[in-house]
Amino acid sequence: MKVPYIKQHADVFLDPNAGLWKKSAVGRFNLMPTPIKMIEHLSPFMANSTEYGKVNQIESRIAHNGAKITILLSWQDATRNDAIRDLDQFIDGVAVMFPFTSNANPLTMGDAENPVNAWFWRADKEEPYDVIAHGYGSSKRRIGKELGLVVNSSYQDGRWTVVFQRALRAGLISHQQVNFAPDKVTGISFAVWDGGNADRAAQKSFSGGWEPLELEA
Amino acid sequence: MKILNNTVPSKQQLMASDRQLATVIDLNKCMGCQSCVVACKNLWTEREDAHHMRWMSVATAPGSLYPRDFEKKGGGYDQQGNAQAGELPSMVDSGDAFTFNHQEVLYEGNAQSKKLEPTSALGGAPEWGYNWEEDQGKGEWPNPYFFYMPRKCNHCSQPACVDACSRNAIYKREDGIVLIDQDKCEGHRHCVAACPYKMIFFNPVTQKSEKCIECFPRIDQKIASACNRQCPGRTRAFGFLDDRNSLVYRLVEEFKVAIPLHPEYGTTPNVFYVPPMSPQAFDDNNELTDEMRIPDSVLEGYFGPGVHKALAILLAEREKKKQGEASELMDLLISRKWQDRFAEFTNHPV
Ligand code: HEM
Ligand code: SF4
Ligand code: SF4
Repeated sequence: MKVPYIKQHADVFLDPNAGLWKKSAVGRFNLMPTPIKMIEHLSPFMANSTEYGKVNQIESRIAHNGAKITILLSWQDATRNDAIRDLDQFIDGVAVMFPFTSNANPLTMGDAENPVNAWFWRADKEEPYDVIAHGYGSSKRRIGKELGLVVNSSYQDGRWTVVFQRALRAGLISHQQVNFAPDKVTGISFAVWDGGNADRAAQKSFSGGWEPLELEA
Repeated sequence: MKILNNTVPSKQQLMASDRQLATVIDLNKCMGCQSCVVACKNLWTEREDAHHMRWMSVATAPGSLYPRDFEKKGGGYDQQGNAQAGELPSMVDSGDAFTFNHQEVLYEGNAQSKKLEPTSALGGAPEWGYNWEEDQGKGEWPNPYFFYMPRKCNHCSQPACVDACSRNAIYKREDGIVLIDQDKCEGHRHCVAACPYKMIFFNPVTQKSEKCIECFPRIDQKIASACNRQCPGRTRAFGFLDDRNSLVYRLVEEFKVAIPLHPEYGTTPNVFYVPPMSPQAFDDNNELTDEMRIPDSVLEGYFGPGVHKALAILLAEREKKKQGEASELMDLLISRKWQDRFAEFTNHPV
């Protein structure tokens, strides 16, 4: 999808109702349950799951202002699960994932040679996580704030709206974060967890392959 | 771009151990005093976020046991070794974590007018709780029966919990102790569902799963685990299963009187029980019979068909003693010196 350049202060992008979002086309992506049998070797128990991954669509608008990229996501979820009140409860969440290299496979969340970077929001946390993964099972959560990732979220009329924002160029190379640049194309992939349906880990719905992400100059 | 070369261990590697520590619990001697439970709680789970956890528990059998109805919550493997779906115990199933109005009753001068009342961790009056069915058991007069069922993690040789964790956060130490790496756990709880004994507890504050650690810091100093050491009933033996001089070896492998709970769950547990020899039952005319009060079917339900052989050996050896003959097995089970029960793990805690 196209990522327009919009000349506005970065803070304005964090408001999902800001007028500037009209200038960014909505991307609607169908979501499907992950091919969970692929993780049989990591958890034959999880691989038996059946009723997971029921959220079937996500809407996305993306824009940048030359310094920061902002990703506005929203999806339908009839139940708001933003706290663990009992031991058998799970939390709503969303993540966007990016490849470091063209070889990174979103279906495996990358591999040892081809890692992926994800931005991960959970409804019970103020701050998002920046996740690095070298294939499923290897994901590491890092505190988003320490890596320049911020989030804004709201729930209204059975819909979650989540806004991620980060500098186009991340800080240190050693932090292992993806970089974006105007005129460059990369990929994005989406995943949603419905806490009310016990979604967690591979139990989620996802968008499939990389969606091309083209940043306009 | 090669950023990090993470080598992912195989399940086989995570489950392998050079040796295996084991516990034997003699159900003929357990008196349900809960000393083992308190010893464990004081050491490991006396925390605001862990009050609902009993890594060591004692419940009355037959009954819903602990966590409530764990036997109906799935997990483990079928006979072909296929992973079985499991459910997560709730706060109430996990025995709840009551708070009491101590302040109001004891410190505000209301002792004559108000009663101590428990409140559930979820708010309101309790629905069920730890040790809720104490001493209820089953059976009609004149043949009522029950026994105590002390339980902790079995540090299984085929641990379903290790198999279930997609993050490979659970592993066996060289001595067979199964541990959850708290840095790797993200609280997905597949281990909780997979453990057929429901011996993993979710911490809703840290959002990580926790379980019995067999007091490994003590084990490393050759001090027996707290539940084992603290038992005033002398029910416990502890040591390496391959140590021919240990009491666990002798009871499990040599005399074959200590058997696992629910062997059909397919995880090869390493807590073994000496099954209860119950009193003789009365018949309709109130005459003593040769039948035991606890029906065979009930014991077989818990310990599998192996229970009959174990009981036959125990009864025969007890009979020897009755006749004034020697029985090494009965002497071992009496275990006069505590040092005889714990093999090399006889250091004192400091
Ligand atoms: C394509 C979009 C995907 C995204 C954005 C994504 C994102 C994530 C994130 C952020 C986590 C960490 C969760 C946590 O820390 O609680 C995670 C975990 C996991 N994911 Fe994915 N994922 C995707 C696809 C898949 C697919 C297709 C599978 C399997 C078929 C999968 C399997 C797993 C597993 C097993 C875990 C748990 C182990 C771990 O934390 O690494 N993922 N995913
Ligand atoms: S009893 Fe449960 S938690 Fe303990 S090792 Fe066995 S499967 Fe794992
Ligand atoms: S301490 Fe010993 S006698 Fe007391 S409940 Fe535990 S196992 Fe039974």
